Amino acid sequence: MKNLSNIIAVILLLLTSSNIFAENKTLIIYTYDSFAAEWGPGPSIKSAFEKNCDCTIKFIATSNAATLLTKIQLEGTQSNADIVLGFDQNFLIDAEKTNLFIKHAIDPELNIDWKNDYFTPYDYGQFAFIYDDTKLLNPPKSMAELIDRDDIKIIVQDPRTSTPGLGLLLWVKSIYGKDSPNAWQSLNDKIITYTPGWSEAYGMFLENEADMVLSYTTSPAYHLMYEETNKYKAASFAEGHYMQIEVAGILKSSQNFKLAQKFMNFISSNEFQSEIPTKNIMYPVTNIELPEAYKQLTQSNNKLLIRPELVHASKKNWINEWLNSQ
Amino acid sequence: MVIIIITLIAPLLTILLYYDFNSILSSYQPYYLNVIKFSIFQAIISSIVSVCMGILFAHLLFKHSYIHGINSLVNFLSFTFILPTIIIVLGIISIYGNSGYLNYILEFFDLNIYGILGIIIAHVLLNFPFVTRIIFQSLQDISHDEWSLAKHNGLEGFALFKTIEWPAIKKTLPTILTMVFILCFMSFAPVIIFGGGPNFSTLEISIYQALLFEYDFTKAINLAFIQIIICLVFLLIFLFQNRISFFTLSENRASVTNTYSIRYLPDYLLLLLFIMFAFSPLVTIILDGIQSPKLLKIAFSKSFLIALTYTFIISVASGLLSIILTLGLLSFGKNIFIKNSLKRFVVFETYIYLLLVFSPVLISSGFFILFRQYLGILNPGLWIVILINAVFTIPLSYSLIKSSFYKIFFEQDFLSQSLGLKGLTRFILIEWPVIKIPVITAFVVTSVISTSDLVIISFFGTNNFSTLSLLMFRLMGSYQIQESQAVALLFLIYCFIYFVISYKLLTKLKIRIN
Repeated sequence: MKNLSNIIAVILLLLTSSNIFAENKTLIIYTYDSFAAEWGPGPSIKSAFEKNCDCTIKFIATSNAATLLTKIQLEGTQSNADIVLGFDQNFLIDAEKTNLFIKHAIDPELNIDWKNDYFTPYDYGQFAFIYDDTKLLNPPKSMAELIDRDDIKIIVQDPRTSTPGLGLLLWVKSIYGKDSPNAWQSLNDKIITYTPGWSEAYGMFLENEADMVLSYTTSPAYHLMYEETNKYKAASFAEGHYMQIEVAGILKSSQNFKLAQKFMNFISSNEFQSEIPTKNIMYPVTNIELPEAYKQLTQSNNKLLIRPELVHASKKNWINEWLNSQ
Repeated sequence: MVIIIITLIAPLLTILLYYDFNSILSSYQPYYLNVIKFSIFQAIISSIVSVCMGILFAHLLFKHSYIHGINSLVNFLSFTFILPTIIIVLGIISIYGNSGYLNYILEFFDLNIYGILGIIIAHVLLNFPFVTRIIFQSLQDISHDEWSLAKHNGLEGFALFKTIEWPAIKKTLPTILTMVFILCFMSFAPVIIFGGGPNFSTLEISIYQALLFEYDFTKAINLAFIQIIICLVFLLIFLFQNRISFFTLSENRASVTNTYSIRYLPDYLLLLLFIMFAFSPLVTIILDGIQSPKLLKIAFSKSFLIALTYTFIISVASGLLSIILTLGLLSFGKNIFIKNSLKRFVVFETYIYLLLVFSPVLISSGFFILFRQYLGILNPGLWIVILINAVFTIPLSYSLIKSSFYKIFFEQDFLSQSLGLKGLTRFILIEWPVIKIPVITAFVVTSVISTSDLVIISFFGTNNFSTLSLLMFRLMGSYQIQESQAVALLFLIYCFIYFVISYKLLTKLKIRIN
């Protein structure tokens, strides 16, 4: 028995020491699956950054952007992550309130309005309903028309488990305000299913399960770049389109603050930003040259956005309001 | 016993630390009433359909047990029950899904697999083979005399079923119904995959969402509390009428005197239909997997190998731990039986089966908070997955081992005492040879069941720590259906090899004392 406990002690020691005496510094970044995946922007961003630092980047990916913050909260100050990259502006205040993040102290030049001491954006997009213009010949021209039409079936994401789903909830809120429950009730007739995440919804749409799917105005660019087809279009809505700004922040518990800060600055570099339109299919936050496919997209000038403070204060109530109008 | 109490109480207490007593009622929403209603509704429908089909199937199997291979078929039925849920779910999608083989049937009735229909089909397919197996066993327990008497009185057809078979079946029904109800009530993977939104959500899913997406412990605990109460009510309704009698083995088996006959043609066709239905998910998984062009690419990919390694570690470790905990409980139960009354013993057994009603999501979050200071040194996710799987499979291992264990103990107690055998020596000499086979069965069964977990791993898993179930879930989530079909086939092969090899190896194992 004593031998056994000795052996366990030695094993524990080996396990811990291998962490302490790592050869060079490792920057651990928590992110979501599709960012870190081989087809996402992660790998090329990793090698670009590693060229200029004596360090290694390690991505740890959760399956969904919406659980990133929970993971950090559960791990608390014991987390070994240095940077979290991947939640959007709707979780900004929740993230600040956890008291687990530290001010980044960087000041990048961006093409969007942004002022936050803790988080810096790395891309943005606008939500939109995507349709196949060979099948849906007269797409709705506004949210109001979509709500009134009864010949359209759509697939959307669950706002509790998906950031686009929450985006739609806020989109409806920013248009209809107090009238949202009524809007949802008519919208529900058109919704075939609420999927837990973006990929399930988009996959079902591509399998012709619905006329339209909630995605981004940039989604048609993917089909143009990788499938050379222009049949997928984003329906332009008169009321405007809701914004999503994705951000990154440094954890207070990070042992590598300087390196993490270097990465935060790297986010607004051309090397990082040029991977965003082609690999994350979102708009860059700096004024870099966009790929050809993006020039065919229409961006709405009416960018809807509810203040993060208000979202933080009301999110729960709005979700309950949506649940109860099911 | 102590370990089990700690494994349940410690995480619950930890979670309670996060409980906000000021907002006990604030998380109440009319919506959750719908969730509760739906959870109960789908579980009742699923269990009734499973049991009805199980009775009919078992009756047919038993009536025609002269057919060569029926017994191996019945044994194989339990294999589908322990298979990872996600394999069955994927099988169902490729049969009834929108581009599935039999989708035209659903389309004809204008039905959709996403929603309550998919959930019920999945629950029935997961449970009815197992129900069939138990009912088949209870039919075998009918004594030879009863059959001869019935035959002598010229009972046939429905009359025979009603007077001879039904009473035997009826005895097992409360236990089966309760068990299937609880399994469906707490079910996770089928609901999250077929659910299709807030209208078809269950309490277990809501607890998962409250914890992992809303970080709202108060809401999660409230929902879990409701869940436990509902389960308890159902447990009590059924169990206080009948004593828990999970799997009893009897040696006095009746045999059927029927032979092949043309007049049984409708029966044969019905049997064939049942067999096709029960094994259809497995067959489609094999067919799709073999045809998948991604099979070889996946088999050697890094993500598959990582998932395979962790799946293996988790199966071995949780199987082993579950057995150790169960053996501890059995000897504890033995002491209660000797020292106290039978009544206490029944209470003790009820506690063990109560394990079934705790929400794994809640317990694992509690563990995560407890374990988090070790993050970075060890892989807490791995430990939690192993521990939770081991604890939650205890009722199953307990019911598999208990009859042999108690039997040997009471039969050989006098002998061992007169020989002065005690402790480990006694265990190895007297008890082990008899309980060896049930223990090995329990180990293999709990090992394979542990690979099913999707609740705990779907949160703790990362790109560097996953299991085959999680890998399949992720691939399905990102619509890489061909890849997930390939993984499903490899996963199925893994389960089969694990099952056969560990069973064969372990039964040859001998413990010697010098």
